[in-house]
Amino acid sequence: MTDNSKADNPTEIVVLPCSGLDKEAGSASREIALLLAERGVPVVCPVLYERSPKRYEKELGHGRLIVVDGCKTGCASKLAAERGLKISKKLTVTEAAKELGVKAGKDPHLTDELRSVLPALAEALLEVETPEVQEETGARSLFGAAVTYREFSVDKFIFRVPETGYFFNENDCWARVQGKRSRLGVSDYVQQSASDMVFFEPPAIGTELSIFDEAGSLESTKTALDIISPVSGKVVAVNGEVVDAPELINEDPYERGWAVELELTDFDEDKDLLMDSAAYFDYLKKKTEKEHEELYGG
Amino acid sequence: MEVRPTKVGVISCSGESEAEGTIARNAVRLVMEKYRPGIVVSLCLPLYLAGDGGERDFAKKVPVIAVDGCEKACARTATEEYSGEVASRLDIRDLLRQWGVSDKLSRSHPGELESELTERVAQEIIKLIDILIEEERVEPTGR
Amino acid sequence: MTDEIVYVIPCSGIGKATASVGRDAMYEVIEDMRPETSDTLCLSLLTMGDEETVGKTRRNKVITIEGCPKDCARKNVESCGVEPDISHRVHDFLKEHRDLKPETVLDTGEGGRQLAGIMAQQIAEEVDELLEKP
Repeated sequence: MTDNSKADNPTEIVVLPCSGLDKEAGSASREIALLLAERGVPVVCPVLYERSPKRYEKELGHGRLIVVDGCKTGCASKLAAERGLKISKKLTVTEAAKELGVKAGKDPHLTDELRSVLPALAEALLEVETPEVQEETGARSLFGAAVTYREFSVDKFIFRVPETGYFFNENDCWARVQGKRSRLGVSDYVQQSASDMVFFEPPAIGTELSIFDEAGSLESTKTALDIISPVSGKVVAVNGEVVDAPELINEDPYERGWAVELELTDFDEDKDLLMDSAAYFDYLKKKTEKEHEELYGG
Repeated sequence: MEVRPTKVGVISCSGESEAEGTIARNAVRLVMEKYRPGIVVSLCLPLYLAGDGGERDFAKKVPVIAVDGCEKACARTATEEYSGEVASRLDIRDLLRQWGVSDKLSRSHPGELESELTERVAQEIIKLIDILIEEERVEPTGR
Repeated sequence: MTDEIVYVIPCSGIGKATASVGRDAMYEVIEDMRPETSDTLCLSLLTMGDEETVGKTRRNKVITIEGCPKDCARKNVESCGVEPDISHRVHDFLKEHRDLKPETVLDTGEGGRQLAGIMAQQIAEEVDELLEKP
């Protein structure tokens, strides 16, 4: 990392490449990170970050994160997700190269053909969204702030709860409130208990919901359940990605797996009936311990 | 006072290309669902190898029994690589040899013989679990 | 006429009924529908780097079947430097056949068996297509 990174790196990004050593795409991921480093972008070493996350606290705290995966295995993306990092941009070398008519090979040495497209791929990562695009995705940027998590484990199962910014009801559904808007979803506990989600039927746009109304229904391989709205409001958006791929709820229940967005009616009133993140964490811990005791005697 | 784990992890081969893999997988499910519910936590070998889920970390905290279908010992090897030594292990192919089983077994459509062998393997797994309890390497609650 | 075959590799998952469906579909293809042109491999052997197993995937075509969206079969195959020719998720078939939800891991029930049959039919056709391509 260079000391003049801010001067040379006005977009304040930081890059996390994968560390694939056994094929060309992994080498390309590293090469892209080095090209960005020449432009003053701090590079996070994935191996060091895995061992010693505090090492990159400063860079990751201030920069927008770009992840470069060599292939669809997505090791760098997974590492970022495990650490609760918000990914600003992502590149998968095999996919991006395929679009340019170049195939990454099995030999880890970079061919001239793949090497020739890497500067363009790196340059694309440096591009900042234009104000028009940001306006279109205004709702996305409302809810785009990084989320950090607390977790606890029961046997091999790890349950995560966002540290702040979320409110929960006793049906384990959450509301993430930003101003007059709120996104809704189900908690990590629900997605783990219900197993893989296969269907999501959302409410219609314009539906007026009261607190505790059904805000859509889910079906998993194990069970059917309703999203019980923690707040009152009018449905203004539905997550189309989750409609097409409900398994997103399993992969990322608190961020990409949001189900419905509301324009709030009276959050101050609803709030009295909800748990904040800290209270829900304690509640969930007790609940899972009790369930475990009931099932297994301890 | 030492806090003992209350669970035993069982990681099984589930190699589809051999009948022993099918027997291993089904025997572990039997133990988990019927004979020792609440004590056994099964570790999914493909998830374990892919490094996903909490399998690897969990396997570091509890005694692990590896149930392998054959001498290639994928379950044991994977555990030793990512989590540490196994507490005990079974080699199904070895067991079948000891029991004098020479019939060709079905990997895809387990019949009466396969079911009987699955049940016997399940009992072997239970013996290993009970040894761990006797040795106080695990302290199951609610028993 | 190619000497290649297609390896149909399910995820080997032990904890979900959908993994059992994937496994059943695979057996139907390799034992009943396309015994001459398809086979399976132990995913764990592949991931552990067994030379013979890795060599087979590099010299032949590969179809993976995922028992859940974690995509362990595809990821483990890719970790050996091989990209599957086709990847399937049981869940995608379940979405199209909502009434065929499998029951349990040890016995997927009538619905699970039918779902496996539907998957097997499609995969068998894909085996043929993959072996026709140059």
